[in-house]
Amino acid sequence: MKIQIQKNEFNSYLNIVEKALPIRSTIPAINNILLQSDNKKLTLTATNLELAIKVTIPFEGEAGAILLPSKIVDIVRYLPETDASLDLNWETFRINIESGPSNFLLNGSDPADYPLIEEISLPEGAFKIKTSTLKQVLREVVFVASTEESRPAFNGVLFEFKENGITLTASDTYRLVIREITGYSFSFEKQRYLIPAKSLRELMKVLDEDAEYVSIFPDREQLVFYFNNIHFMTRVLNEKYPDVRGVIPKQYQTRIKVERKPLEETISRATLLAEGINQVIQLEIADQLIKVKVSSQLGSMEETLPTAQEGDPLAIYVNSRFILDILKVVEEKELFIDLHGKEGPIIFRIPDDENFLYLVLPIKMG
Amino acid sequence: MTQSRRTIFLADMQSFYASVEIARNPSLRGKPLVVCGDPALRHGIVLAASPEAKAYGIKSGQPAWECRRLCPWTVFVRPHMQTYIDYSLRITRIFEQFTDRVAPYSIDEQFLDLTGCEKIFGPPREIAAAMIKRVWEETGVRCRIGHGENPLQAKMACDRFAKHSKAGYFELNHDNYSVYTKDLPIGDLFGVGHRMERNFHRMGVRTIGHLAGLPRETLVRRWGVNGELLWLNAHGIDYSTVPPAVGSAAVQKGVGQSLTLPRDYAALKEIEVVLLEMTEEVCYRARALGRRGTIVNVYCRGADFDHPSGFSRQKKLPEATAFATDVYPFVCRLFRRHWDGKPVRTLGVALTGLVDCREQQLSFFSRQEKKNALNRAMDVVRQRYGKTGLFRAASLTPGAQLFPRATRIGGHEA
Repeated sequence: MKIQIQKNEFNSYLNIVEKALPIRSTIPAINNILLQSDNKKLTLTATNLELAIKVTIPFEGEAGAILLPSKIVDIVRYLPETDASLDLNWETFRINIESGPSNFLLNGSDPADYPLIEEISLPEGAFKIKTSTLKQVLREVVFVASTEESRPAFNGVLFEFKENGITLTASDTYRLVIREITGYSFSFEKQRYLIPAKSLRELMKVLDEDAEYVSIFPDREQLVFYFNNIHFMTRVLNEKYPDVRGVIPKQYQTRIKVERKPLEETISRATLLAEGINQVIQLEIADQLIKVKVSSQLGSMEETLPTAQEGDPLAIYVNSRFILDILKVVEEKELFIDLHGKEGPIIFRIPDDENFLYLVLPIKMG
Repeated sequence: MTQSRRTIFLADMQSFYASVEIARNPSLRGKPLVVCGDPALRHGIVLAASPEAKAYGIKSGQPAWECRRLCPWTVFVRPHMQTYIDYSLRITRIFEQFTDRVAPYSIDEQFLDLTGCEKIFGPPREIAAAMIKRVWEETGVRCRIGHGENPLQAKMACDRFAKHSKAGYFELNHDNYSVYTKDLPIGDLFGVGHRMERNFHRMGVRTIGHLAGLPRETLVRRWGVNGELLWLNAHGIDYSTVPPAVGSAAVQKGVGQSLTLPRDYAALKEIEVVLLEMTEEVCYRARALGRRGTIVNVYCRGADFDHPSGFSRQKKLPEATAFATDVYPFVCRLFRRHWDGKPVRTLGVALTGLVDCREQQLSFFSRQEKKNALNRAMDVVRQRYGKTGLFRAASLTPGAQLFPRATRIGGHEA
């Protein structure tokens, strides 16, 4: 079967499915991209068994299937001309790619070895969210999840589907982020799904604002994100997520209101002298001022910023990276920081937004 | 870059353990003496030999039976490690009367910075003679002193010249360094081991002078920083000052222990008991330094000499710790993954990537606070009643090494 392709368009599909290719796998078949045709449409699928991405392209041609070697991604990217033809042989699994003066002959393989990925159609009552909103909340949450493999539950982001929205939770045992989004209606079972942060990092890369909305729905043991004819299917982690809300104190001892950008810049400067894995800086809050201090073997620095302070004065040690992370992902001009004594958590809140919370535990100096 | 002229000494004690034994028992003087552990327990290797014994070809590291073959009337003495430490410290005290900048480099070598002391004690040659005399009179140990303008020159002066001179003193400086060292074999250069010596021979470099004659870039290209360092050594250039004392927390990046088992262990259960004991010890020492480790390393060497086997593997810990209960699971995991199942002769555990203990990143679930209190209590008991004052029940099972080793220092008799 011969297909006429536009280099840039076909390349963009391949770039999306490529995100699900395994880095290296002991199952040879999944190192390939599955191409299927059923008279009405063409689909491209890749999976690393944790994440599967399927792109559907409207197309009329004969039915068949073939495994394309992952090299095809680069081959299409570097084709000399914008027009190309792809000639697929369903029996011999040979692929012939022609573009201008260039002619590739590739050996594909038998799709029979490929894991079965069920046909999923968009159900009624899926959770429908604006792409830009989903992108921002993922940005606020995913970075907190741990990449350390000793506590698998914390490698995930918890999606809790509730009456009229979702609560997203992530933690790495040193910090915690909770983001709620409300005002949505959907009709599947209100349940908790623990989604690998690794999958969500890939999702953030492929979410395209050309699609105004993303539909989210569960399907068997996975959660599906559907947009622009793309099925992004991620496995659900089978781990119990510990109850982390217990660490949030009811009442703060100190509250300060800070301007985000100046604080970010001050802490960035302080970090230049922070050392070791803990990147310790000290925050001293007193007399409507916040003083950022560092002292390490490299030297020391301090810088003072005005703040609106409520409650007790306090001096506290903290990992500067944990603070910079949050100051970089939120977009608000001002933030509240609630403090709870020297060894209590530091909580970042957005004014007039009850639905967000970022909590960091401090460093104890012995 | 020109270096200011400094006066650096390296003082080396001749056949240190053997000399101390002779000082304790003068009737041994003049006899071929060997300090050596109990052959039955495989510690029967030569730790030190007196000059008389060395004359028969006896060298450190040889098995005891070989000494007997070389010289049947060798006198064997069991080691007394605590005494050697005491003597070493006494010698340090003597040097400290000349300068406050004394840095022990090993049990029988110390670096001294005497820059400026000439004004008080006279020329370096006389200071060295006074030091040699006092050490001899007060401890009965013969000491040799290498003098240089940096630690490297002092070390080279001592190892290559002072040790073979009657006065026990030799001076190298920027002016005479190349004259004296250029014809020495390349293996005599500080920093060149067997492997590097072979590499140099393959390049046609046989003397220190040959190496000094090569362009610096050639060395950098082949061996990077290390190559450049050797090139500098060949020229007598060393930018370091008297190194800070070994064992100080400022330089220590890791704590480790390795141990040659009294017999070959083949049972995983027995091996894991020893690994647990070593993990305890290593964590205890890290805590004593006020530090925690972020990386654990496990070392293993197989019993079969003809077919060397074994491994040294490390793993990053999820968080910095100095608690055996945190570290031990990773030790076992590393060992089980890499062990080939063959009998084991030597085992080692090390905790590296040390970070300051005083900084503790609080976490939602860790029981660091509780563990800290528990371990502090355990440390107090052990400091007062010794390592056998409080121990794990596993140390009572077959294969455990805690009790056999509790009365030893560095694996040798105290």
